[in-house]
Amino acid sequence: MRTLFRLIVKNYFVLLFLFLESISLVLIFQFNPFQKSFFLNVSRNITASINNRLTNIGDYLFLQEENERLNSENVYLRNQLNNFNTTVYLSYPENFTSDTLDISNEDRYFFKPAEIVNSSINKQYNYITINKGESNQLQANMAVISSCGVVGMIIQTSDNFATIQTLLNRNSRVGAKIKGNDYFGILDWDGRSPEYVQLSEIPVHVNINEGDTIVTSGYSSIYPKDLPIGRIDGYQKGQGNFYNIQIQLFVNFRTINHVMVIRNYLQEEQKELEREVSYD
Amino acid sequence: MIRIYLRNIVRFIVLIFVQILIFENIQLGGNISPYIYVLFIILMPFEITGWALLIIAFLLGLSMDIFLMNPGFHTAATVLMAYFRPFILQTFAPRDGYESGSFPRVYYYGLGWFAKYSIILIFVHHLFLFSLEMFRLSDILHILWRTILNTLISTFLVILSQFFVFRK
Repeated sequence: MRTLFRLIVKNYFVLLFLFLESISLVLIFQFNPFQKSFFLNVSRNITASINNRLTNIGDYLFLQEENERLNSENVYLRNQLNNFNTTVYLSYPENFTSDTLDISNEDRYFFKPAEIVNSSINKQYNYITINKGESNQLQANMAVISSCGVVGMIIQTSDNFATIQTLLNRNSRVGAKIKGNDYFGILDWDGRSPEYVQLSEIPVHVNINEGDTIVTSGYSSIYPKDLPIGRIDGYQKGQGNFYNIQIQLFVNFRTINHVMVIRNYLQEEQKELEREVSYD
Repeated sequence: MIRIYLRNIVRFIVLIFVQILIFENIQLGGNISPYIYVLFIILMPFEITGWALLIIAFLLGLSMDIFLMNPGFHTAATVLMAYFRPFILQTFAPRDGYESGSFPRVYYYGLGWFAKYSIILIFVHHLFLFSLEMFRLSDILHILWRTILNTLISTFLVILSQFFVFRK
């Protein structure tokens, strides 16, 4: 016993190091894939309120650019309105063919504009904080888009802020398909470049070309169908009979500062139904 | 003595805020993310005991993690860095040891000594941090590239601080 005690005292530096290091490793592996409520709540409440103030300053600096962009979007929307005389749910940039959801979907989705108060692109796990939260009826698992395409989904909300897990997050998984032929795969990020994401599980017999547009598949309750994501930049045959496809994003995460949150009124109902089926 | 404690507490808070409010908001490119808050560990006095250094490093990393949303990464890296510090100080010690009343700064031991000392500590911190974050063997070249690039930037900023903030 005495020897053991002496050994501990003698090597306390190494032992304390191992102890503290294992606490941090436990933290990493326990919390990362899951909802990290308490960490997120503390950090969001402090940083978001400070960042909110900083963003107010930043907004003035980019006012002109933002105005021009909004203006062109307005013109585009007005044209759409004349052409269809129905509700247009999303404005695409000029290089898109316009798509509208069918009329039955009109009441299903509701769009809420929000402003970004904090964002990052240089991490492996990138998040965006927006200035709308529970008081604006936002909840976790709502899709977030910008005028160019998909941004990510809400993972956590507080009263006045919400945290979005962007496509540039190693935990992000989005169901996506190639526009036109409807083969669908899974979109994730390899953590290398903030301009590119990767699409996997498209079988090699499918005919794909560089420049093809990738849109959401709509097979989850989070993202509505046919939201633009990016275009194919290159592809190669990967493991098995599947392609590894490199996709250039439409959204520029470096300059983004206004987004829209999509609220799906039928999300609960769809989830409920799917849950019942999987129990049977 | 109380002045030293007070100064270190202020430095702790200021460094975390500088990191969160300035360096986390500079988004230059996908690979550039220097972490200068480790300067706190680098500047700790020579006489500090081992357990205090480790626990301070743990608290420093934990406070960074609280702000950066993904718990654990910075804590693990900062504790490892603090563990290495006594050995590196020993390796680079001048012939008659470190003088009492001096601090690990450019002013006391020269630019060459400080650069050697800080670049190794920062490299250890960044390598461990980025390896944990990416956590895939196939990304090893990317991890190394990110580590080297950011070690150089962080070390440059840390050395710069010696000439503008911690002059004496």
